[in-house]
Amino acid sequence: MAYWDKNQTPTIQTNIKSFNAKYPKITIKTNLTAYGDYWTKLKTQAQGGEMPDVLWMNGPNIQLYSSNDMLEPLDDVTSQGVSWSDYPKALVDLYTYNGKHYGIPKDYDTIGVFYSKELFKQAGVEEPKAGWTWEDFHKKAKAISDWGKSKGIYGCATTINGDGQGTYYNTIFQSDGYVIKDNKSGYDDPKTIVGLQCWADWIKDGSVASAKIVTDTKPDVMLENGKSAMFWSGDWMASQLAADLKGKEDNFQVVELPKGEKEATVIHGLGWAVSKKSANKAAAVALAAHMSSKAAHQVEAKNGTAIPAFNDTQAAWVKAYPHWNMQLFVDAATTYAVTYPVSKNTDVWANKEADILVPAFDGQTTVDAAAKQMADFMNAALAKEK
Amino acid sequence: MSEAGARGSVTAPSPGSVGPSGRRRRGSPTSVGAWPVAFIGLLMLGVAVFYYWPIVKNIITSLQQTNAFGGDPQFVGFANYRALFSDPDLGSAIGNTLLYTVIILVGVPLSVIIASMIELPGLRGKSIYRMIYFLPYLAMPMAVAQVWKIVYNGDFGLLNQFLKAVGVHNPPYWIVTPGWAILAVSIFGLWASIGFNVIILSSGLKAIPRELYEAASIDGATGVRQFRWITVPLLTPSIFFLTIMTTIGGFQLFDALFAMIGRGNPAEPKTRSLVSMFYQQAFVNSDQGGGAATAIVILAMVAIVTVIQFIGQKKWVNYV
Repeated sequence: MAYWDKNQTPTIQTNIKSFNAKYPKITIKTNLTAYGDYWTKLKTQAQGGEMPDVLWMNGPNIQLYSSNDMLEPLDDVTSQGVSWSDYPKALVDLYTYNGKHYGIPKDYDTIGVFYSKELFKQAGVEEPKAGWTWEDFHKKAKAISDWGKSKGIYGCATTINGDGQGTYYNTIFQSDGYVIKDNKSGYDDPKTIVGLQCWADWIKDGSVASAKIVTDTKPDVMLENGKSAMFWSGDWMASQLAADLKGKEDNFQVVELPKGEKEATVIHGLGWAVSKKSANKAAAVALAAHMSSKAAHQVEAKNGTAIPAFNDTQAAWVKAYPHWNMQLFVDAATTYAVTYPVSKNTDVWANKEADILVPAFDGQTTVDAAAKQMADFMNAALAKEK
Repeated sequence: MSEAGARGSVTAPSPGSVGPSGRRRRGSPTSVGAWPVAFIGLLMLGVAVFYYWPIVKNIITSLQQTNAFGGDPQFVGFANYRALFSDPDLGSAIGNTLLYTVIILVGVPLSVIIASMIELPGLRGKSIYRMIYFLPYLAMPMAVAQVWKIVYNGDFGLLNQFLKAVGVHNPPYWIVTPGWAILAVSIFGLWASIGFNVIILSSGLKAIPRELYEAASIDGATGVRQFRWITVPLLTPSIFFLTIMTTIGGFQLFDALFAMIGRGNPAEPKTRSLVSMFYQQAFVNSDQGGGAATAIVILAMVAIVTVIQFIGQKKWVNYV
């Protein structure tokens, strides 16, 4: 079994123990590989027909592996007690390819805005409230940036340098645009462009820190050190913030994303997958099913590492961060979350976003031209996928 | 040419004559010949499996299009090379790679000066100096790059704090500004190369007989002249070795970029090297044919430059 997050080793060990209580004769070897190397290694293993029996899968890679016949379809896993309705639909869809299930949701991430109550107070700006809009966000960010200019403080600093999941994917969905639909790029859709233009506008008047600034000093560091008041990010940020801000948690809070034309957040999550070439397929499927059971998700919730995907097991995760309103990440998943955009070879075009969109956000090119260029590149890349 | 041949043909027996060394050994000549082959063969087997075969395989792959996992290969001729040469990024990738290589080559003469100072007779604490210069070479490049990122930070970095203190207004945001970024990475590479260079040169220096310096000082040669006419000429084999290694290392520029620049950096598109293009194609785009073609172009460039260096060395390297 292969995975990449060291923090989740205790969860995995506990769940393997309970699996062995049921199937004492199956021995499970785990293999931890750091995220960066995980995919390089997995690709090499897949090439040699030596993929691990059970493995973690993510959105950008699921179609690549399932379309190349590397993963076992898991539709029969329902006979082992897995029910697809137990997980958020957006996630189940992410792991469905050509009508077949290739992954069982393991956990998920949605996006919110972490903010520094202290900076809002110092700048004399009212804290954001649920139901706020892009306009509210812009006003507050601008007021704080104007107030903090001489001290190098920004209203908002976030991963605008190519991280769609934390930033522009959300605004694209909020303005009712799309990134990919029916194997076609949505980047030249006028509504998508609205969701990109907002960042260029916000950066232009200094409300949001430019890509240059947040590359040089990471936005989480800026928030923690009082250099920015707001940070759009996923719930995964909570464990780091909780550790770094120990004792000062009450100076910070989190609020749902401001809404554009509508409310939206990207949802992405990992899935359990089984290798097509597994020599012990029955055991591998049983293990994947066990790891996806309610009990296994409850262990994950208690350890507080990631939001477990099994509906109604999230309460324990929310309780792991008593100072902050973490419930919003869970509520978002079941109400207005939109599936993370992927295709068969996601990385080809997703990596190009940084090259093309970042200069537009920084005002070196127009957003219209960049969006058109991105759409052309993406459509060409999608046409080449096979 | 064998050493015996180089020494002149006077003592070498002429073919057919039976000289003192011309006596036949027992056994057939082939059995004598088989031993060296057996010894070299083991080594060559490893080299063949781990170096030559991958190169051959890589050339084959570069003429193919495969799926993301290397399966389903289709022969496409030179299509991957045509795509590479029409890639607008190629020019700047070559430019960045060459600039980086030239800058880290400056490290070689710098290291000669540093090593000669460390090896000055009578200097106390030589091993401490050697250790100070060598330590960066031992540290993990990724970790060191993170430290340099902090040094280069636009707002809080050591470098800009210093520049501001000496009166420079608005020093650049080094690693996020196109142009400055490749320079910043090169200077990091230069710094990181000094340790290895100094160790190699130090051992080269120790091999120079002291008598030469004594004779020179009796003849009235100053320290600088001794350095110019004794130290440098006798160090040329080490210098040549380092020049080759540094050049090859320069062409392989990747980890420093990966660690210090990274995707999403606004300077990244203009700071790519040849190897980062290769990485992008092979591992991000899952285009193995395109990646293989890039790798072959890098290999060809390194080979050409190395051959030129080997031809050029005859003019300036002194083997004693």
